[in-house]
Amino acid sequence: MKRIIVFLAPALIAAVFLGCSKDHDPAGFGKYESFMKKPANLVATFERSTDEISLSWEMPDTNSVKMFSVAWSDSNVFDLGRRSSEFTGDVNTTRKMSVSHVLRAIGQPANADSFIVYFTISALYSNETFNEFVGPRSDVDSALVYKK
Amino acid sequence: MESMFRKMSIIGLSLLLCLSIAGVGYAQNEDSFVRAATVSKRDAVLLSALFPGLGQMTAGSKVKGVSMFLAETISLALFVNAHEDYTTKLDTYNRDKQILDSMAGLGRQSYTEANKLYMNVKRQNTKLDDLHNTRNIALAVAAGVYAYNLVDALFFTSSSTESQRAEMHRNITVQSVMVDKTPGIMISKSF
Repeated sequence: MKRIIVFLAPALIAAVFLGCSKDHDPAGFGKYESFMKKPANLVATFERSTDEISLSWEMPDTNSVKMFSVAWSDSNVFDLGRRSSEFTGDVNTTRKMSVSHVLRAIGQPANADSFIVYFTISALYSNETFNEFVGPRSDVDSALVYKK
Repeated sequence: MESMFRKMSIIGLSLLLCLSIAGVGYAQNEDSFVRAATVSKRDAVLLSALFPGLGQMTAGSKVKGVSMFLAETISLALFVNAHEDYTTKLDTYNRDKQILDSMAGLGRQSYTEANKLYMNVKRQNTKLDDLHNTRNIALAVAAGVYAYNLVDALFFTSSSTESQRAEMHRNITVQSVMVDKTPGIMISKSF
C-alpha cells in the first residue's frame, strides 16, 4: 500500500501540474497603439467655385510619417459604406480633390446635384519596424456637395 | 393431429430442458462470480488505485463505488474534452498572434485591420482562459475523487469477506451440534 501511495502521489501531482500549465499569453497591441498617432482636426469643405473638396488636418507628430492616406465613403459608418482611398504622396496637411473624381470613386454619378461625402485621414508610417503601415484614422468629417 | 401434438410436446420439453441447463449454468456462473468478488482489502486498494470506485464496488459498497466511478469518469471526460479544445484553439490563437506581430513589417497593412485582428485575438484569449479554467477544475475534481477514493479504500472500506461475514451474522445459520452424545442440528437467527 505504501508503495502504491509512494508511486502514485508524485504521478498525481505531476499530472495536475502538467495539466494545469498555461500555454498562452495575452496578445499585446502596444507596438501599434503607443507609436502611432491619428491626424486631428480634419475639416472637409466643398468649394463651389472650383468644384473641389478642400481638406485640411493637423498631425501632432510627423516622426516616421512618409505621407497620408485620404479615405472617403458615402456612409458615416465608414466601413459599412462604399469607400475609396488614395495616398497624398507627401507630408502636406492640406489637399484638394475634384468632386467628380471623389464621387466616381464611390460609384456615384459625377454630376450629382447634392451629396454628402465622409472623409478620414491616416498617416502612412515607414521605418525599421513599420513597412508603409497605414496608421489610425482621424475622426470623420463630412462635406456637403450642393450644386443647385 | 396427434403426431403434431407429440412433436410440439417434444420440442417444448427440449426447450424446457435447455433452459434448465442454461439456468443451472447461469447459477453456477453467478456463484463463481460471487466467489470471485470476495476480495481482500489489499486487492480492493489495488483496484481503487487502478480506477476510483472499483475497489469499493468489489468490496460490496456498490453505491459508493458507482458514485466514485461516475464522478471520476465524468470529470476525466470533461478534462479530456477541455484539453483537446484548448490545444486546438491554442494553435489558431498562436497563428493569429504571430500574424498580428508581423503585420507591421508586411507592407501596406493598416491599423484598422491590425486592430480588428487584435480584437479577434483578444476574444480568443478570453476563450482560452475559460477552457484553461474548465480543464483545471475538471482535473482538480478528478484528482480529488482519486485521492478520496484511495483514502476511502485504505481506511474506510472493509474487504468483501468481512462484509459478507457481517451479512451472514444477520441471516439464519445452520450448525451441526452434539446434545447429550446425540448428533443434532441447530438453526439460529440473530436479530
